[in-house]
Parts: sequence; C-alpha cells; structure tokens
Amino acid sequence: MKTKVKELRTAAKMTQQQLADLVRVSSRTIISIEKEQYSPSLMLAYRIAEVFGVTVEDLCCLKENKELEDRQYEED
Amino acid sequence: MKKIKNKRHFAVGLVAAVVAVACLVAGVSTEQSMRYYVAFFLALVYAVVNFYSSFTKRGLLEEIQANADERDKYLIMKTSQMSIKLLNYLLLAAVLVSLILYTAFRSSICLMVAITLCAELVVLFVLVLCVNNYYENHG
Repeated sequence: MKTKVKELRTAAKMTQQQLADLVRVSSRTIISIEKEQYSPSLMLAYRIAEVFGVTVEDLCCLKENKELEDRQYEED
Repeated sequence: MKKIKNKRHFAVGLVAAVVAVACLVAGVSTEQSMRYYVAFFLALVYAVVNFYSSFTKRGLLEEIQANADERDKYLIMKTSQMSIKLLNYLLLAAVLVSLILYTAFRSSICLMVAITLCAELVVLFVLVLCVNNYYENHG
C-alpha cells in the first residue's frame, strides 16, 4: 500500500530508526512500509500520523489506494 | 504463586520429575536398586534446575515473542501458511512416487511408506481444520 511515510519522514529530517523508536516498531518495519512491501496496522498508522501531525487518511493515501483497489477489482 | 517465565523448562522439569518418581519406584521394587537410585537423584536434580530456571529466566521463545513487532508476527504467519502448503505438496508427491514404485516393483515397503504418508496427510488436514475452527470461534 502506498503511503507518505518516506516523504513526511525526510521532510521532518528524521532517520528510519528515530521514527521506528517513536512508534515502537523495528526499523525493518519502517523500511518495509516505505518500500510498500508492508501495510501498517490501524494503530501503527495512527501512531505515525500523530508523529507527523497528519490524518491517517492523508498518511496512507486512502483515497488513492481505494481507487486503485476498485480499478483492480473491476479488471478482475 | 510465581509466574512461569519459561514454559519449555517447566515442561521439561515436569517430565524429569515424573522420570525421577518412576526411577524411585523401580529402585524400591527391584533388586538392582543402586542404578535406579542414581537415576532418581540425577533426574531430581535436573527437574529442580529446570523448575528453578522456568520461574527465574525468560526463555528464548518468550524473549522473541516480547520483542517481535507487528511485521515480525505477520511474517511468521505468512511463513507458517506457506510451510504447511509446501509440506502438503511434498507429502502428496511422496505418496504418488511410493505408489508408482509399488506398482513397478511390488515392494511392500513402498506400500507401507505410501500408507504412512497418507496418514500424515490426513492428520495434517485434520489439524489445520481444528486450528482454523478454533481461530474462527475465538479470533
């Protein structure tokens, strides 16, 4: 799932380890989220959104991801 | 009562305690009692050490569980699913190969291997069904 984690993290001049420590996960989890290999749970997304002062909808690009899923569903 | 920090050591301690009791009973009831008393003593010491460490030190599995984050748990779940799937395919392939070998060579060993592997497949299926049912009802 596409997210804005990398964009927001680099804008805040934070390392992946620093963000991981703030939201109580490992840096591997943050790396996977940024590479779109792993979708964060609701609670984790909320914690990350709180760190950057954005909403979960903005952080996880929910509108875009929903449109993408709907298109894939229609194609199938 | 203290909390059990290491379930594996606790289980090993229980087994060792049962073995110790069995050795003591055997020692009391037979003539060749010395080696049973030695075995009883060793098993008792082993049981005590395991019980002590089960209440004092956290085990490796417990440490891993405590430090695992959500992605680690997700990966473990995916790994387990794929492992069961692959095991299923492997067992099925082995059953088919054993049956083909049986038809080719009429060896009773091949038939026994095929039957044993079939039984393993059935056990695996029933286990997966039961565990799935449990999680369906308990989340």
